[in-house]
Amino acid sequence: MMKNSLSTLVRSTTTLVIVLILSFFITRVAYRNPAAMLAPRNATQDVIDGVARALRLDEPWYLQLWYYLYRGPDIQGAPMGLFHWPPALGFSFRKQAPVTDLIFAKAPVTISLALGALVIWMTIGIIAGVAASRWQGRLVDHVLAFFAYVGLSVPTFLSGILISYFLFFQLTSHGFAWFPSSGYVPLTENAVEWARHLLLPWATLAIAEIGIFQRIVRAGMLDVLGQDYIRTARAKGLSETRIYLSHALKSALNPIITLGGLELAVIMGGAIVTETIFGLDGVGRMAINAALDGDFPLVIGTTIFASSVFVLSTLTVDLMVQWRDPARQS
Amino acid sequence: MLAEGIAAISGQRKDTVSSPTLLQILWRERSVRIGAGIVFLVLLAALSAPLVALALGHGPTDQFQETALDEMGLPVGPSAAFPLGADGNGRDVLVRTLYGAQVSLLVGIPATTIAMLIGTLVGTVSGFFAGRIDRVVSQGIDVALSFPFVVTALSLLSLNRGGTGQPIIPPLLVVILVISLFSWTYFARLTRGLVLQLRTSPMVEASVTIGASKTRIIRLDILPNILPTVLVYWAVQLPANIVAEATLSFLGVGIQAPLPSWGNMIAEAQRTSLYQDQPWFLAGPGLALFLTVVGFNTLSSGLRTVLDPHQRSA
Amino acid sequence: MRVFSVSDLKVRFGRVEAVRGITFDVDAGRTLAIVGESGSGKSAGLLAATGLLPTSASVQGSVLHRGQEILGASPKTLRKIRGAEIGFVFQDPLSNLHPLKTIGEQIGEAMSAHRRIDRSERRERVLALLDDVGIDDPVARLKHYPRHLSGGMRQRVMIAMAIALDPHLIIADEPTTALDVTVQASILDLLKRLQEKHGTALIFVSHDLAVVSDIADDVVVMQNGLVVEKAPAGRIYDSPKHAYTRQLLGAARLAGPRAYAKPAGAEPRSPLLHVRSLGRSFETSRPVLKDVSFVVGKGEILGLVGESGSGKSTIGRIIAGLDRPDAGTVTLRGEEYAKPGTAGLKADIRRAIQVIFQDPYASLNPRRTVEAILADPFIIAGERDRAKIADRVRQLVSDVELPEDILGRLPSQLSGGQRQRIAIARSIALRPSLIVADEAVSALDITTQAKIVALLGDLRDRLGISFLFISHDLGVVGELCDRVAVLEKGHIVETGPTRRIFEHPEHDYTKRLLAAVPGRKRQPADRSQKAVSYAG
Repeated sequence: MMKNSLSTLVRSTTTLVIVLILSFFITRVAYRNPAAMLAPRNATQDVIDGVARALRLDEPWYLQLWYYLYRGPDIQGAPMGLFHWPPALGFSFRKQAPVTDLIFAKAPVTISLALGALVIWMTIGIIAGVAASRWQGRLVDHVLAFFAYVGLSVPTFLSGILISYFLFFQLTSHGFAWFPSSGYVPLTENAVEWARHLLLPWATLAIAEIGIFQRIVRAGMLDVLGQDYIRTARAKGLSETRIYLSHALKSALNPIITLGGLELAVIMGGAIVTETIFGLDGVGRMAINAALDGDFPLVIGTTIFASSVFVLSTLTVDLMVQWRDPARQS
Repeated sequence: MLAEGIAAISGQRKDTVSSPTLLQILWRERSVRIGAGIVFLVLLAALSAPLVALALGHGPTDQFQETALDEMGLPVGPSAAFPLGADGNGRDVLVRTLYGAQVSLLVGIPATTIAMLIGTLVGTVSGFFAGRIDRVVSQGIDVALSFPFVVTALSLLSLNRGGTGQPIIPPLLVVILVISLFSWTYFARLTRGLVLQLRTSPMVEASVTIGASKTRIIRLDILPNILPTVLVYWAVQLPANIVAEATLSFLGVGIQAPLPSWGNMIAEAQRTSLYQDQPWFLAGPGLALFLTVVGFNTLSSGLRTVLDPHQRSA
Repeated sequence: MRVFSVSDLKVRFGRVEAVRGITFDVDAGRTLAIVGESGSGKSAGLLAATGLLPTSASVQGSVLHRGQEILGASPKTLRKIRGAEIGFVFQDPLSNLHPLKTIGEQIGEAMSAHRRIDRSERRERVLALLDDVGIDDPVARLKHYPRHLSGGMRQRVMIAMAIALDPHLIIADEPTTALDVTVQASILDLLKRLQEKHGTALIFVSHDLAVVSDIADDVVVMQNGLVVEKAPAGRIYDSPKHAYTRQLLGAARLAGPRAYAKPAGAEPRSPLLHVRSLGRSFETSRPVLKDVSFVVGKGEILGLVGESGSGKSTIGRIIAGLDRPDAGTVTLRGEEYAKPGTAGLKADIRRAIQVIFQDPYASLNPRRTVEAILADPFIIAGERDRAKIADRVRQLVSDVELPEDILGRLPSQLSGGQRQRIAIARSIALRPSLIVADEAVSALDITTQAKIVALLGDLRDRLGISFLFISHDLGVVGELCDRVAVLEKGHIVETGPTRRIFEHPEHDYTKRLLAAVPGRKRQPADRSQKAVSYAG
């Protein structure tokens, strides 16, 4: 158990380091003259050179990578280097702030968005999937299958536009201003407002995933329900409710958890779209603006953020599945 | 396992008098029929685009400021001249939507195929040789999966900008490459799992004991048995990649206007809010995209029900 | 008292009629055995009678449980009866126990599904049950999961679940089929003991008349969904009336082989394969093999007998070059080819040693025709002449007694016995000196099994190929092998001529193995050294 967790951990860390190095090189090749992009418009060559010097862009790439990985000189008082404590990811010249500060400022928005959507889609997806397997071939199953299909076939950006048009624009113009136009209220400040601001984005992200999960939960349940031990449960005289919820779901859950973790990571892409449509000021939007602006320290930073989310969620899932597996115990 | 599914199906042949072919068995599945019907319509739409453009006299990028915009500068709704109305620049929405189908398929099909080829190759090598090679490949898959799609796509597209800001290779190609770069992992994980299972199967060990070489085993025992599954999952991944192209174009990272793509058409409708006056501006490309995805999803899920009774979750 | 009575029961799955009107009943304290080969409808009938079949099946007839009609009863009524009044024990306890629930939970559930029972009382009852079915250290076992237990232990847990509420009837569906002989014997003893203690009625389903002979009071023989014979056990074994019963009885091995193999010659054979002090261990477990040594002579069939986990397959894999030893060597005709640190075999050794695997469904490539599969060995050996290859392939097919028109078929279009013949044909293609047959007949029906065994003996006689015949089935080994090596926990405890081993075993373990072979109660008086007739 310990050995296993340790190797998972080593692998995750390796992944992050490789991502960092790769994104360093991609941005270095992609933005050929970063100093010019970062400097104000109409800047003179002197100013551009100044920016380059300030960001150590005039030094050879291996030194720059070294600054990134280990320890670089401070830029405008902000330290640099991943192995520094607290780890730092450099300085964004565009935003005139350390990258880590910028990400920490925006992260709560994106994390609230993704985790809230995860809770919603998992709950609804599992309930709908179990219901569809319980009444397989009946009306309920067909209706749920129809909604699942529609849901998983609408791209996030399209459902986002439709939701914002009907549930925000139309409602508001008819006098029901239930949902705000945009913005974010921290959870710590006002939990109700937090949820009210995020409800439509959550719905947007969750719709497609509910469709996917409903189908997968249903297929998993039907697979488990054909197993011998379900017949044993029936032979013991257990009620159908108990068989579905306690016996079948228990076994069907593992692949669902695994996929949930993967999708949570993938949802970062969907978060960018959702943040754009609903005017949420999160990491996703910041990332895309940074990429358009050539603000490469921020591009690397947000890339690292996204891969950390991926690594963390797969790590959590791995540990959860290991913990549920009786073979690893005792 | 899919191979067994097919084998079981063909095994049934001798029992029935009129032996149904695999195609006939597939055709009996309702979702295969519906899906294939919709996919056929999409193909027809893509092929008919130049004909419709010719018949209406509207090219996909032609702007008709005079006839397609009213005195307020708003696009006109559906009419005989513009069956689905016009967009904000006075272009024909129908013609652009039909051309959009071409772009979707031209990006989606090659991207999925490239991803399938790379993924199958990597997955087969990784699963068959196991050990250290497998660990390296798995690490590579982890890295590829953990890269954020959109942000990386943007960086890669900037990479394509030459000194003068002109693209070095056609942006369409870059979009294809970016999408295949992100979806090969799906095939790699699939084939790796299949090959790992087959590698220690009695079938392969039997070949080892009669002295078959590794390449012979891969060529005759492994590839033919995983290929049907991989092809079905090609059909599963295709709609996802069509959506990926649309999403990139929606975010302004993929196919750039004025070249029509459903993603950038929807983006334009949303950005200008003109769809509130001319709903078909959004509904045209929106419905087309939805139908395409539904069609491929239905078809692939039908294929899976017939050929792969134990559906994989990942 | 009549506990359970089935009359004119019919079961259909779509167009397939699995059970075509069967009638039987069982009284309190009695054991009814239902015997038939796979597909005879014996399990389907019982599952249908108790409402455990999927709803897609249509069921007709009458089933009385203590005088009450339960066929077509509401799910609620059936639920109250199942578990409380009828207990079930199924085949393969691993797949029949929930993998993610502890033993304690699963047995406790059987009680709480029917009775209000508080936690501590339930715990006490579960502990008493575990003790009752002979599981040691019940307190520790409560928290264990099924995969921590051995096959026999799991089946004991299943039995504990079945008797948790003192049912009137226990239905046991092939409860010992996947188990080793010694475990099988102890499970049969346990069932008998519990039945005597509680006066329970028992319905025991099996494909094997030998297993049933030690336990049944009455026997029902089924074939193709019909009851062909129904009689008290004594009559069935002593004077079977129906031809099919006689055929089953002929194939059954009561207390071991029906006859011993005829040694091909009295003179000591010149050795072909030497296995010297073989050792093998895998990570984190006790060594699988320790100091294993034996010799296989030219043209000899050596039986390697052992229970599951004894390491017999590992020996076969090492000899065939599919695994490597951690210690010791294997020598073929004086050439040492397997020792620690080696991987892969040289081409000539590779060609000289072939393997027949247990599962003929898994060992043939489903996407290639029989012809392509059989041409493979020749192509790999470098033969380029197509006509020559085709000739040889046809010769192979006739060697294993199959018709030529089979060449164009795919494995999925063949029966299990035909597939195993193809696998055998492939293994003899390059005229090897030794064939490792790893449980090569275990997956086959009992009548097919006999024919394949005969074929192997015949191939040895005609082609002079030596066999290492690995099996858990003492009966088959006795009928085919010249000599037998007995393996216990990775160690060979005894080697000797077949007849000597069976009739005068020296080692305790061998004695225990032989004593556990079912059918002792009705074993035939004479077991002369005649060749078995495989007709029928």
